[in-house]
Amino acid sequence: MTDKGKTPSVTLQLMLGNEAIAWGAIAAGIDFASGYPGTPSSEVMQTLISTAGEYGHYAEWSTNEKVAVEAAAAAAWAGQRSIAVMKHLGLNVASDALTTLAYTGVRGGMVIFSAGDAQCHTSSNELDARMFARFANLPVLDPCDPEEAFRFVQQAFEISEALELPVILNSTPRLSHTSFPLDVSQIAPRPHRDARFVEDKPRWICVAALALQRHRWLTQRLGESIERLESFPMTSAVDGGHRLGVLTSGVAHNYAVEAVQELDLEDQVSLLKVHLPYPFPEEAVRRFAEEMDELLVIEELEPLVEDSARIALQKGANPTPIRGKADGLLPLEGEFDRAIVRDALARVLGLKTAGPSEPGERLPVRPPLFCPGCPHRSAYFGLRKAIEPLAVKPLIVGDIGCYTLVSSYPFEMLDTLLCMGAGAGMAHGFAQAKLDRPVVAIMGDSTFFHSGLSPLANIGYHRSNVTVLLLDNHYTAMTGFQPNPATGLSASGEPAARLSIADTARALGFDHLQVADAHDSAQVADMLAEALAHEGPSMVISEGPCALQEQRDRARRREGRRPPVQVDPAKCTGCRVCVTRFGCSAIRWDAASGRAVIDPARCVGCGDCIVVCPVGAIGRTTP
Amino acid sequence: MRSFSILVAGVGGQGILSAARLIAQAAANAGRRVLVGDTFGASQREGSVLSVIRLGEDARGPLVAPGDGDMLISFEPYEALRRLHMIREGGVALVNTAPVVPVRATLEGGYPPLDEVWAKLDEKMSRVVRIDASTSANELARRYESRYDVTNMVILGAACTIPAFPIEEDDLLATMKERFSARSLPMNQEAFAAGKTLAEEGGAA
Repeated sequence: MTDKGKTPSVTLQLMLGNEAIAWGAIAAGIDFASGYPGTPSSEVMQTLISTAGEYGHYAEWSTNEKVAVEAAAAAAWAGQRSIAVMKHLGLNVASDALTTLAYTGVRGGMVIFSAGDAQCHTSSNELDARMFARFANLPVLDPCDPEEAFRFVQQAFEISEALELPVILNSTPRLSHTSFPLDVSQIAPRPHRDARFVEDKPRWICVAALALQRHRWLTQRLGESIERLESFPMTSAVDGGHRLGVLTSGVAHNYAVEAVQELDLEDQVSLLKVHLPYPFPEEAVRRFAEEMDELLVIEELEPLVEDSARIALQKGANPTPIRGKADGLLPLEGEFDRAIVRDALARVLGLKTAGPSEPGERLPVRPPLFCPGCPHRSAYFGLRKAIEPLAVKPLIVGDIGCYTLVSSYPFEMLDTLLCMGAGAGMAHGFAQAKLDRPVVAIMGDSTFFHSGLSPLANIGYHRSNVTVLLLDNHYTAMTGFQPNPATGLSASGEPAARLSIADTARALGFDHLQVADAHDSAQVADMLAEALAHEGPSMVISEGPCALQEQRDRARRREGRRPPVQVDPAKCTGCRVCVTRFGCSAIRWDAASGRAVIDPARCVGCGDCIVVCPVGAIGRTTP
Repeated sequence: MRSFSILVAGVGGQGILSAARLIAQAAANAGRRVLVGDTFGASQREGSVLSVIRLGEDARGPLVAPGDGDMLISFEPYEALRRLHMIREGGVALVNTAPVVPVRATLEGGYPPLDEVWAKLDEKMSRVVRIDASTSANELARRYESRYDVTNMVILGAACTIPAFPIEEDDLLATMKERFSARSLPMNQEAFAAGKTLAEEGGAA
């Protein structure tokens, strides 16, 4: 364990890429920061929130990424410097605002930070935000390490103001979650600016003929970008031999540098790292290519630099061959490492590689579990109890959050999962398509406010026969316990409005609505059974705070741990219900004795398992 | 000059990321180039966790290729086996002997016996130090009536007894003083000392 928030005596502080990005934004003198949590982006906002008081910027968790972009854009229209922070999937949520923001542009510098997820570590796709930038016609910077990210975010504000366009800063888990010692003690943040709106109706009212004019403005502005960005280095070169020129973008650059060194190729290979993959530095790449026999492009995910280099070379009638993804040398999917890059280099240069490396042990993976004391586990135990007696099993339509883990052991009850808010949206579609099964949508509190309101209104409006199980644990728990409108706290932990999910849902047409104690699985089951029997929209809110957050709060209040519960071995019949159907990680199966055992170090004393045991062998007192 | 890579592995909730950060901060305080790459995802909920610490001027990428690692510090024996292919022949390993077997695996017999784990580690590594860090940490937590798990500090103390471990004990202890509050420091220091003793007393438990 380590304590957060202590000032170290040294100036070189180990920093996550995400923390470095936040400090870069502070150095740039940001006035306004808004974001929605999502791994691997969340530490950027967390750092901006914890520093807001000292450095005088505004910072909030918005209700979703589109709202965050709109809020940050307003500040930038009013001349302030702003940053909107999200994971790559949030860029899609924000895209309606962002793509038109490219037409209007901004007055103050605006940066959109997008943390991608090459390899889908914690995401439902690995969309390449650099391609989103090209799609929206917005400049994108692609740093390779925390040090570069710290500088690039500051330059992103300069570029944004030089072009009057929002700038996207791209990241991956290997930048966001890589730590490096940085000295931020000497930063001299630029002075803050007051918000002042300068009327300009043809610009700020983006519609019809005016919008077409702005599109022409955007095209012209991007065409001038090379001249306007003259002072900013759009590429950096590592000069070596001219046998092969390697073009890189983002974190893949690190593996290229290491692989060239490992294969001892410095006298054959030169590197050109593209800092700004869009708009593409065509002239710099053409000049580089002229000196090389062949080019190899090393970039994760989409072939943006590769395709752009082909276009640049064709425009210059330069016939230098380009190797990379188009010829199948490197994959379009997943993240790279040094071995992948080394093997590609070796194949291009006709070198022998070390051969396939030793495969890892095929151990069973560790599926993530609900934490001990988690209110969701008890609620889902109730859900299963409610649907088991039904003649036709309901379709369980999922959504994004901790509660998605109902897909895995020991519940394995989830039927679908698409994206944030899709649970209610698709449940409505299944119901209206007259699916031959009842439909249950699950949703969490943060998703409710993020993208749940519109699909729930659609259910209420059409009187769809959908039962919603809303799991309210008061926090955006999966991404690190961020507060949301259901919490009653602001981003910095100050008291804030607490919006009522029940009142909101009733207003959206869920007139059959009951609130259950999540830790009372029998109550959840009874209320769900009634809701399923109801024709039309129905909702059960299972309410109970996140167990990890509750333990933190107890510790803060200096309350001790609740005493663990125990299994009475004399009463336990070895039926395994507590293990196979409840699945708390504090309950272990002891094969030797044929009995369940509760690990007192893991048990948090919630007692949810007491009612699970069919013979009453689990209890609070020492047997 | 090549780099030295330490893989710190285990199960979510064991304090792996904090331990890796402490090692790296100690290296940074000593003026060395260091970077740390974390892979955790939903790890707070009992998933596999890996932190890669890379020391040296040549270290660029946060990921190492299979066979690149020089030292494995695993908080859990099966996680040591899971990451063993990432370590070079003749590397060193420090492993906590307390297994964390998923409940499902206990029902299905999905994990190999520990003897097999040790045999595979011994075959590839030049040195394997085994300690029961969890028992020490649990005893300390009981004595201090704390909800914190200090397994990570027991393991760091043990690591300092291994000659290949490239961080000075004094640098680690100084960094601990910086990072811990006055209230939590004594328990962590005691855990560190307990780890040293465990490793010095044979570490072959």
